[in-house]
This record gives sequence, C-alpha cells and structure tokens, in this order.
Amino acid sequence: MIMNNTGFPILSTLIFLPIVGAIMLLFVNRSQEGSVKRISLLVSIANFIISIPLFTNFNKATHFMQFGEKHEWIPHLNINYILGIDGISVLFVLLSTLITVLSVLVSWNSIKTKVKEFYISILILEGAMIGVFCSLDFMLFYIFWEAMLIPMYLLIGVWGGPNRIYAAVKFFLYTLIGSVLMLVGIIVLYFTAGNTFNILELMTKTYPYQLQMWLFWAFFSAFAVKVPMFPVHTWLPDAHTEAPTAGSVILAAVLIKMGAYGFLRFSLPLFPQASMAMTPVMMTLSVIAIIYGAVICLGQTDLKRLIAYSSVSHMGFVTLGIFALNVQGMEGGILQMINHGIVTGALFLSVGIIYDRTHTRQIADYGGVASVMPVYATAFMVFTLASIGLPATNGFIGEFLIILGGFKANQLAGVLAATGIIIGAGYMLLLYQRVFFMQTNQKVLGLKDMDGREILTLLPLVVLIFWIGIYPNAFLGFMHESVRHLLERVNTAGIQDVAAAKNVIEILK
Amino acid sequence: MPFVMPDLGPVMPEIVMTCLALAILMADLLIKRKETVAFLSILSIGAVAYTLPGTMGTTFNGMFVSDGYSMFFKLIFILNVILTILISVKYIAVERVNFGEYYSLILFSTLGMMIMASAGDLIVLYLGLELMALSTYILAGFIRYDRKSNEAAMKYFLLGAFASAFLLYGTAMIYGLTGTTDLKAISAYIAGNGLASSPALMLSMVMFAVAFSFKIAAVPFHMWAPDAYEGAPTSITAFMSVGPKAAAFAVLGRVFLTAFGTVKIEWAPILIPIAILTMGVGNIVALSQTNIKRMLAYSSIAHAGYMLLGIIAGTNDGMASVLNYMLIYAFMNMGAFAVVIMLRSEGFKGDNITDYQGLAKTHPLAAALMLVFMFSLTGIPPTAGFMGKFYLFVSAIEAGYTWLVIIAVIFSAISAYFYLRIVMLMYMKEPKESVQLTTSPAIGLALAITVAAVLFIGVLPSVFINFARLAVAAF
Amino acid sequence: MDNFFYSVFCAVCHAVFLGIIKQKNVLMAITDAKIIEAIVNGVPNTIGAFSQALRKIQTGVVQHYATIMAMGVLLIVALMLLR
Repeated sequence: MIMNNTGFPILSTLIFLPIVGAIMLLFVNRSQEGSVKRISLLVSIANFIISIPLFTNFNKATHFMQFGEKHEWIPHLNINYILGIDGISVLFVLLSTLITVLSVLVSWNSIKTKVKEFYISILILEGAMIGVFCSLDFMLFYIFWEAMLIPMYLLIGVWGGPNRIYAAVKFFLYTLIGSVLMLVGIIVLYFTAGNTFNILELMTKTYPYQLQMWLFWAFFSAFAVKVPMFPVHTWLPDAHTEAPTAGSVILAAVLIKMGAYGFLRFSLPLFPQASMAMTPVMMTLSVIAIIYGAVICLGQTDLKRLIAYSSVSHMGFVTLGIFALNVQGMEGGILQMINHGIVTGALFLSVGIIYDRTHTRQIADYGGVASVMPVYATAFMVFTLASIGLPATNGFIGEFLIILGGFKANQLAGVLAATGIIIGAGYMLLLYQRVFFMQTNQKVLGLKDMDGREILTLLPLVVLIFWIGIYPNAFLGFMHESVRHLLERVNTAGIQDVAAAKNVIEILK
Repeated sequence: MPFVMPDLGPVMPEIVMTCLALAILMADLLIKRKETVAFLSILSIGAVAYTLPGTMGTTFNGMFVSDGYSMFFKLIFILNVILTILISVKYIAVERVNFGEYYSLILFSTLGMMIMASAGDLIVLYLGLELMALSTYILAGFIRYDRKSNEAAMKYFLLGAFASAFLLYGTAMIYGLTGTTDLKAISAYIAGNGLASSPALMLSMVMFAVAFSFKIAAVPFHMWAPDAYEGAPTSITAFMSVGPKAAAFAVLGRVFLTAFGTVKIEWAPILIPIAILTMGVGNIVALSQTNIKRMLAYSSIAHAGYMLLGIIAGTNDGMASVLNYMLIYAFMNMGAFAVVIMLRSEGFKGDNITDYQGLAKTHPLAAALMLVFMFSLTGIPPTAGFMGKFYLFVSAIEAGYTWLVIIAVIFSAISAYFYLRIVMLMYMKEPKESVQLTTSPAIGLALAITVAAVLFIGVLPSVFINFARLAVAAF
Repeated sequence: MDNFFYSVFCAVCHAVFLGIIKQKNVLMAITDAKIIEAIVNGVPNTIGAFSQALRKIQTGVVQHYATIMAMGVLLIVALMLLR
C-alpha cells in the first residue's frame, strides 16, 4: 500500500529539485564561479532539509510503502511514475542528500576548471541517486540507474587524476554491460508477469523456478558489478583513485549501495527460490571479497586505493549479511551499508582534505601528520576506529550483526568473516601509523590544520558514527518491519502473501 | 476499355510536391540569392505537409496506397527535408557549391521516397526507388571539384544499380509465380495456392531482401556506405542516413509484412543472420575509425541492424517500434551531423575525430549538444535513443526473440565505446588548436529542434509511440 | 622470566603471521589482479584487434564490393535452398 503522509510530493521534490537546480546553473555565467558554488550549496542543503521529514515522519510500524506517488507515464506499456520508500530505502535517501551536501562542501576549493559543469553533474547525480532508491516501477528504476552513468563518467573523466580516462571508460562500460543484461531481464519479467512493470505487483506473483534462475543471474550481472562483488570488482580501485574527491565520496558512499539495494529490493523478493538456492554461491563470493579485499589492502602504497579495496572488503560483509537470510544478517547488512557510506565517505573526504594540501596520494610521502594537524588526526582516528568496528562506533553494530547472522547461516562463513575483521584492523591501524605517527615527513611540514569549512564537512559524519554506535535502534527501528516482511516473502516463497497482496493492489489502483 | 480518371485525392501530396519541385527548379534560374531558394523549398514542403492529412485511401487500382503507415513515413521524410535544408544553407556556401538545383534535387529525392512509402505495387515501388536513388546519387557527388565526392557518387551509383537489378529480378520472379505485382494480390495468391514452400518464392524473397538490405546498408551489402557517407557533402550524408533508409524500411515492411506476410517463417531466417551481422560489423568496425563521418556511417549501419529486429518480430508492435525508432533516429542523427557541419569552415575540413579535442573548452554549447546526441545514439536514458531501443527490444522479446535481443544489447554496450570517445575527446582533453565554428540561424534552429526532440522524447515518449501504433493498426 | 617468554612469543608470532600475510598479499595482489585484469583488458583488446582486421575488408575498390555482395547473395540462396 502506498500511504502519502504529508500530501506534499516529497519524493518527487527530492528527485527534481537538484535537477532544476542544475538547469538553473546552466544559465549562470561561466565566470561567476562563486555564484555557481553558492547556488549548488543552497540547493543541496535545501534538499537535505526537505528529506528530514522522511526521517521524522516515517511510520516504523508498517512494511508498506510510504510517501507514495503515482502517475501514468506510458500507458500502453503500463509504465508508470510510481515512487515510494519503505524501511529499506528510507535511510539511503537521507544518506544521499547528506553526502551531496558534504561533497559540494569538500570541492569548494579543489575544483578549479569547468566549475559550472562540475556542480551541474553533482546535482544531476543526486537527483538520479534518489530516484533509484524511490522508484517502484521497474522502468523508472532502470532509467534512473542508467542516468547516473553520464554524470559519474564526466566526474571521473574530466576532473580526475592522471589515469582518469581509462578509469572512467572502465567504470562506464563495466556498469553498462551489467545494466543492459538487467534490461533484458526486466523486459522478460514484464511479459511473464502479465505486462506490468509495477514492482509491488510483480512481488505478488510466483515465477517458475527455471525462469527465476535465469532472471536472478541477469539481475546479478548488474548488481554484482555495482556492489562490487568479487570477481567483477576491478573497476572500483581505478574509479575511486582517479575520481576527484567528491566523485570518490559519492561513488563509495551511495553508488555502491545501489548494488546491494538491488539485491534486497529485487532479487530476493522476486526470485525467492533462486535466491535461496544461490545462497552458498553468494556467501562464498562475499567471504572471498572480505578476505581478498582486506589482504590486498595490506600491500597498498596509494592512500585512495587502499580505502577503495577496503570498500570491497566491507561490501563483502554487506552481501554476506544479506544472503544469510535471517533477521540479524539482513538488518546488519542494511545498517552496515549506511555505516560504510558514512565511514568510507568520511575517509575519502579526509583524504581529499589532505590531498588538497600535498597533492600526493602515496603513503610513503606521509608521516607524522598528527604533530602537524592534530584536529585532522583526531577525526581520522575516529573514522579509522569506526572502519575497524570498535564498539561505540557504528561499525561495531553492523559487523556484529552480520557475523551473528552469517554464523547462524553458515558457521564457516561466520568464522572467516571474523578473520576479515582482524585483517581489517591490521591494515587500517598500519595505515594510521604510517601516515600520522612515525617520523614527520618533509612534505607534510608546515601544513595548516583544518579550517572551518573542512571541520563542518566532517562533523556530521563524526556525530552519526557515535549516534548509530551508541543508540543504533534509532536507525535499526526503521528496518524491522520491512526486513521481517521481506524474510517472510523469501522463506515462504511468498505463497501466503498473495491473497493479502491482491487486496493491496486493489488499493493501489 | 474506357478510361476512368483515378481518384487523385490520395496522391495529392505527391502531385503538389512534383509541381513545387519543378517550380523551384525554374525559380532557381531567376533568383540570385540561394538562401531564398532554400526558404522557398521549406515553404513548399510546408505546403505538401499541409495537403497530407485527409488523403487516406487507395488509388490507381490499388497501386498507390495512402494509409496511416505511409503518412507516418511521409512525416519522417518531411522532417528530414526541413532539417537537411536548414543545415545545408550555410554549408553549401562554405563548400562553394551553392547551386539552387541542390534544393530541387532534395525535393525530387523526397518525392521518390514518398512514392515508395505509398507503393501498393512492386512497379510503383521500383519507380519511387529509382527516383529517390538517382537524385541521391547526384547529390552525393554534388561537390564537383572534390574527388572524394565524385568517388562516393560513382560507388553509390554502381552498387545501387547492381542492387536494383536484384530488385527487378525478384519482381520478375514474383510476377512469373503469381501473375501479379500488386502486393495484396501476391499475398492472396500465395495463401490461396499453397505456395509457401516453393523454392521460387524463396528465391524471390532472397532477392528482395538483398535489394532492400543494400538500401539500408545491412551487412554484407553495406560496403558502399562508409565510402559514400565519407565522400558526400556532410548535409547529404545526413540526408542519406535518414531518408533513403526510412524509405527502404517502409518498403521492407510493406513487402515482407503484406505481400509475404503469410510466409514469415520462410523469410525470418534470411533476415536474422543479416541483422546479427549488421549489428556486429557496424559496431565493431566503428571502433577503429578516425574520420567522424565514417564512424557515423558505421553507426548508421548498426542502427539499421537494430531496426531489423523490429521487422523480424513481425508483429504490429514490431513494426510500430521500427517507425518510432526511425523518427527518433532522424532527430538524433540529424543533430549529430549538424554539429559535424558546424566544424567545417573555410580551409578546415573538421572531419577527423581529433578535431573534436577540447571542444568543451572552446565551444561549450556545441560540445554539450554533441554530448546529448552521442549519448542518445548509445541508448542511455533519459534520451530518446534509449526509448527507441527499449521499444524495439520489448517487441522483439514479445515475439520470442530474447536471444537476439541479448546479442543486440551486448553490441549496443560495445557501441558505447566509440560514442564516448567523442565525448571524451571533447571534455577530457586539451584543444590542440582553436576551431572556428560556422554557425548560422538556420543551423541553430535545426539544432534546437533536434536536441529538444531528443530530450523530450526521452522523457515523454508516449506521444510518438501511440502515433506509431495507430499508424500500423491498419496493417 | 615471564616477560622474556612473552616477548619471544610475540616476536615469533609477529614473524610468522606478518610473514604469511606479506607473502599471501604479494601473491594475491599479483595473481588475482593479473588474472582478472587480463580478462577485463583482454576482451576489449581482442575486440579492438578484430575491429582493425575487419576494417581492412573495406578496400575501396568497387569491384571488390560488388563481388562481396554477389557472394553474399549466393551464400544466402544456397543456405535457403539447402535447408
């Protein structure tokens, strides 16, 4: 059921306000860089403020879709403009809006060429990101999913590092191939389910097992590339290292989550039997990602590349949690997605801050930064500890729940995942030691500590880390109902739900 | 046999077109400023468009059919002509071939296309095809002093004549087999006399497939296209990539879905390998092109391959998706060529891909427009190119060709590389030298129309999809 | 005394585990990165090479084009008649 809580189309505003902002920016004169930055900051903060009611007015007692909107779009193909969020997607929308504000802030002084196009790309990207999380119609979802590729390609390729063109093309083609295979899957699903693209309707039907397997793998090709799962993860290190700071932050904090979100929102409820059958494969790939990502981090010499591989490792935890197919695992997985968005976003923001000063990403060029920039070192320490999963930080809650869930599902997976945490602690602490402690390097002598803008960029994330870490139920509370409903659907293959869901569809119409 | 005056109502647009084209040819003798001739041509097209509605019906004993299908195609042709004239006005002055015959030739070629779209009989079809083709041959070689242009025209002419021979051979076989050249009568005869598995019928279908494949530049009959597209004046390349292709698809649809409609099972196996090869060769060879007109020629070949999927589907939806895609393709291709034309200035050919380096810095608006067209050609939402491809894939999967669609999407993903290469050069590299753009209000108008259409159809495709479905409903 | 054993134990552990990790790390970083990257870069390179080869068919000589067209026709006719 779709409930519209406030009568005001919040979700459409969230999607289209940034796009309108981007169109407004088109008319600003190229040379007025200050106005460009101020307008984009204003638009992104406005978007964030508009998204706060989603947090406060969310009804945690139901798994139904909220803040819904429905309009006809292409009637003869039964494609409609349907938006709605539930416990699974609400936190991602908030994360998107917050991260966009922070990205705009962190790029204030570091982007010097084609400033107007840069901020236009970020705003369009924000609109598309929120669109992905809110869409309840498959074609609408697909359009937003693909529409993200253009601004991201430009962000990496125009304002990125030395190897940016290779990284941008790699990112684009990798994601595109997965996405087009998903498109074929979506169209096949459309015809099998009686000519509807409406996700809620599709979820009420059961599909033949063979078809489920094919479609599961078609969707897997798109989502696994986005997550990224092993072995299709190789676009990530290149894209993350070469992207400008804002690009890396948005990529790591939000875009990667869409892959796992796709599994949660589509693969699990639509293809329950196939998902259950494929669980061993998915858990194996997750564990490989955890350990492989972590081990590679130990040998990295590039700061951003190290954090990029740590993303692979952390997302391995997430997929492990999701495919454990129990409450703890799933809630842990979703929470860990938010956590990872916050923590890795913070790490990339921090790297961006120091890169603005030294213009080098090599760890060997750093050392003893703590004595030169103490405030920065403190913040970075918080993020490091959160990444490792120290209790009292958000990382602990997520990882604990995931390992609990993973252990319940498969003991070996749980044990291996736990060793992944140990290696994680290893590389993060080694990184901290090499960059912040030890002998002060020539290149970092005399660097200024963080100024107000930079502290402002990192502050919300620090707050969130401790908020989620100390009182996680504030955030876990959103998910309980939706996760319970999802697990019911998966574990019973949704047979019981059909009658209830048919009533739901009547209300929908 | 008493002579009965055929009903001239349905054929009015063509008659008006003929008269006005001849008038323009005459007027050119008197008018010194060729821009005026261009303007008059646009006016005459407007007049033809004005006479279009309400001319439904068949005439000349069923040889000339004017229905929703032909009306849709005629609209595409009219659009094609208007956009071509808009982008040509300044261009042929730069190329120093500013002659008025250019405009009347374009009108004659379009007349041929219109006759093709309305053909209910194989001989009328041939009439239209030859009128279109001969005018286009001359237009391809219009830059008389340029060897490449002459070469393009010669190659197009020689291979075109070769293909027409196949068409006539097929027609002759069908006539020998069925005793008639009327499309509907052929269909009735085949169904009535159980000729479904006759080898002669099979042979004639192959002949038709070959002749039409030549016109749409399908592999392995595509070899004229890269050379012809590269050598012809860019505005004519744009014209050729849309007009004759659309006309060929119109007759392809009519012949294969009307005349041979009952024996689809026989001709689908001919078109399927052609479609796969076309998409494959078009996309793969485009990867290594360094001349933008040649690259766009190969991309044209690939797009014809995608459209063949709609014909292979054989359903009303399939045909509607072809019509829809043709319209969208007209907009995006014209737009892309308009930008290419803008780079042509006095003494600077602007044909090479490397000429686009750093365009975003020197001419950001042109670069942004090219970006939209490149992404539309790749098929990325929210552009019209995606909507067109999407509808094609939907109808193909509905008809049961999921495996073919998987092949199509993979080639489509490969095509992203060479379209993105242009975007990459424009935005991600520094300009080697400063490029001058030749702009004019006409080409600005053309660009505005095309980019607005591409973005609009990308977001709200219903209008045209419904129109296309209506057009095919009578089939 | 305890301290002594403890530090020896620590040193041994460090040597063993860090040694393993450094070995494993170098191994994994090289082999896996190489294998996966070989595919990821190899497939497009193959397509590119294929493209370069195919474009040579376009010789520019009209007679060749006509011959290829004729061969295409014969091939299709043969395939259809022999089905």
